[in-house]
Amino acid sequence: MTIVAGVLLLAGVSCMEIDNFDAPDSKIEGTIIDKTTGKPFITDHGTSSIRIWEVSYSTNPTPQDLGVRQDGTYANTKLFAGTYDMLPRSGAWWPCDTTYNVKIGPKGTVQNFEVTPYTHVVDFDVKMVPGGADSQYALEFTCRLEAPIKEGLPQLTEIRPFLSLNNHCGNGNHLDYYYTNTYRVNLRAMWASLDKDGDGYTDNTYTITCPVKNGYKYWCRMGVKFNDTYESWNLSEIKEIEIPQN
Amino acid sequence: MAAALLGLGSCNEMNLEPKGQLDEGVLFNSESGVRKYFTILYSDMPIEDLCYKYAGDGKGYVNSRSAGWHTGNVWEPQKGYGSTVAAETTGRGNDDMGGQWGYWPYDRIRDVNVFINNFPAYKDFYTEARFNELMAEARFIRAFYYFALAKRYGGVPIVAEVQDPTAEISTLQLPRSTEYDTWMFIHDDLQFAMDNGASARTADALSRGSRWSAAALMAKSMLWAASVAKYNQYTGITGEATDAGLMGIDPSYAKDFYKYAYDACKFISDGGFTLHTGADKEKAYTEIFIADCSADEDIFVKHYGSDVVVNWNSGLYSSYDSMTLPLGTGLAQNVGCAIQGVWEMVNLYEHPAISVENPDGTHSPIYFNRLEDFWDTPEMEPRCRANFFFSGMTEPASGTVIDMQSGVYKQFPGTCEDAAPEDSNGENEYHKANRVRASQPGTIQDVGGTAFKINGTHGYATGTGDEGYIYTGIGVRKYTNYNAPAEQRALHKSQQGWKVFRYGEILADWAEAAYELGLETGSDALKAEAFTYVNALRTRAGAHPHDMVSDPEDIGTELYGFPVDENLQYIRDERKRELCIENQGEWDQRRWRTAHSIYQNFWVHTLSGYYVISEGKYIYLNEANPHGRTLTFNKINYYEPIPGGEINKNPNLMRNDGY
Repeated sequence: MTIVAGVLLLAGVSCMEIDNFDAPDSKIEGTIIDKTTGKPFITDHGTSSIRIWEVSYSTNPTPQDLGVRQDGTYANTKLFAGTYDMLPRSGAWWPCDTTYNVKIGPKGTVQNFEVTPYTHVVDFDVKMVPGGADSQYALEFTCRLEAPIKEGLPQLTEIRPFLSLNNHCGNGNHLDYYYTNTYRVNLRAMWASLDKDGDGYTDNTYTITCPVKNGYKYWCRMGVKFNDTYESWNLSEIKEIEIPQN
Repeated sequence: MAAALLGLGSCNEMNLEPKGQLDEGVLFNSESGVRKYFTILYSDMPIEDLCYKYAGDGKGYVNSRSAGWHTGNVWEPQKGYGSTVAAETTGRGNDDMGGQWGYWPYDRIRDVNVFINNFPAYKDFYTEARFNELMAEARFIRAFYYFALAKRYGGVPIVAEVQDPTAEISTLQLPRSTEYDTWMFIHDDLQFAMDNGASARTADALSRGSRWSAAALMAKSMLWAASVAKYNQYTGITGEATDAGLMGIDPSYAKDFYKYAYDACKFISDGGFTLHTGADKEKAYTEIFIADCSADEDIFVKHYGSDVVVNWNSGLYSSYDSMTLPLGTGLAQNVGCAIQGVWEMVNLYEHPAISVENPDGTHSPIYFNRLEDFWDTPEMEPRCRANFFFSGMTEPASGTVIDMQSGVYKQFPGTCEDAAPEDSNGENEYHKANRVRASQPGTIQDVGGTAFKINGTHGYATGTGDEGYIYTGIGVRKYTNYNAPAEQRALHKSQQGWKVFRYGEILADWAEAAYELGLETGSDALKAEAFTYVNALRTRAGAHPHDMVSDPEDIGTELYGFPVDENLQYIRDERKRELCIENQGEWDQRRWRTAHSIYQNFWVHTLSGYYVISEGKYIYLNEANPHGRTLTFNKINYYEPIPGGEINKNPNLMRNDGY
């Protein structure tokens, strides 16, 4: 009886076809542009993202996040064709407006966004100096900050150096050894207290010294963290520096 | 063929009540029936006990069904124990501090709503007082479930009625209420339960919802709401959920919530609860967690039993002793030391100094004649010894002396900083020149022509991995059963229960509520009152009383980015001293909105004892965790994401900001 029922059940499940629905192939790309300079907004992997919502079918769609590359560009070639709302969302820039009803299809769409960074990390420099007891050499990082808009900035949390052994360098990829309280400037301050003369630049130049190993090549940059929703970072450009063998 | 199959079915009358099922009419008309009805509500109650796992495989509350988190007892919840993400202990559970596993217990909330809505029809079966007590118990249970939701998500949909599944779907898709309204809903349930709940204080009565457990939850939850009102603004999180009041509460309500918490603590104190104590303060302190303290400190207790006797899926047993003690005869039979103490916690207690500062800011170790001199002295408070094992202490149940010597130094010419860098655990030149360690516990080895004991029989051994033996020099003693026979120190065999609420927590709540209320209202009397509760805890602990500083400094701005004065910090530290390893610290740091500032690649440290051959004496060093696990907390995790599956079912659920 069981066997008969089983055969019947199997017979009932007809129409077993392979899933022949095409893989998503719609494309979008573009650049996050720093409105104050007209150049791409430099960031690092995992720090900034663009949120998109496919609004073709649902009023409360599940959002997707598109990562932004280190050079400020982004691209995705595996989206479903449809209409999307887009918002450059997690990054150290002033909140911007959602761009509505972007049509994305297989032919590809270019969509750039303009943002105003909270600050620029300026006068960034890194130079080799004599080390302390445990290392022959150290790297001395220096920078200042410049704010395009001074009023209403989130609290500035800290300034950190980022050291990496490859050209991906920033909050998303760095040597964890240096990510401690020893190697940072604890700011915990509003902009006005850092820029008392009101010229848009911090009054101080910030310096952090990190012991390094002989014979290694380091990719270096500095960043400043903000007390906003995403604890986001503005980052300097990246400099390479090679430590001699001896 | 199909017709033939149908023909095999019978044609009996189907419209009958099933005989093997207890329906509402049977359950609600008697005390034992109600008790049975409540069983699953207690079984699934979101209690962060010895079976609660914060992170990793099978994380979540012990649970009677598989709805995305673990069912029954798992053998290793201590590998994701809450105290490991609060720098109270260390272990493997420090990943995923956001703890996002989609808790959404509206099935149990429906069960309790069925009772609250339908029970009045059975009022005639009870005296009025007893009817109200049972109703109060249900309201307490409902508040307990909502508390677990509100502390994770902020505002959630408030379902206070029994929804009809056949109703128009739009009426079932409730939006989230504001965070303020959610906490006030909890407040109203608990106020009813405090006013009407049972007042007996027998051990059996205190294992169910009473007016006392309702007041304890009132204190805890209102303190949470007050903290959100006061501190959430400093996180700087913005977005539509924040704008809609689903995340955060207007700061002007902080005062009200602190007052509710304060009043609830007073209610319990007026009920006659006291701290458990005794002539031997260390021993008395360990009794709080193992013994029946219904005469003094217990407020709400979850009882455990033997895994042979209780239902296998109930989770009413654990592997705790085997997960805290090191491997050894009469100690852990399996695993061992899944959690270990850390210096960050021990250092909060009164203890002898282990180093002196040099003029150049470095530190030199203090030489001890014995490792026992760290704890076998009046300089250490008994509460610290009751919570942790140190080298040379005797584990009471087995009589074993726990030996956790980390190694030997041939000589120690340098500073503590040379031997134990703060943020690095690798072997450096100083170690190579001076230090000898062993890969297996209990090693005796020749050093410079003489045989020396290199390390203890219970650690530290470099070759045994991160479990089995102690690598931090500090064993976890709190909640470890000092009465357990050897066979209970194995997987699934621990039977000690869980003190969900105890009077010690109430005094910590009360101190915080009184001081914060003093700040809100400018009342120095309330601030001074807070320190009477702090000192009640300290006196019981065998520690020295602490005086309030009359003109306190702000120490919070530098640490957290917003003001917290040193008195308030002391009250918070006292709470941590009292409640560590009870799955509280991590939640406290979340509600104070300090976790993301403290935990950024944060290292915990050891209390590593070494024998220095050239001196013939012992030293202690605070080494960075040899297994390199550091703590990081991201700000968006103060609120967890509303589960995606629920949003798919109900488009009216707004997402939390940051996700």
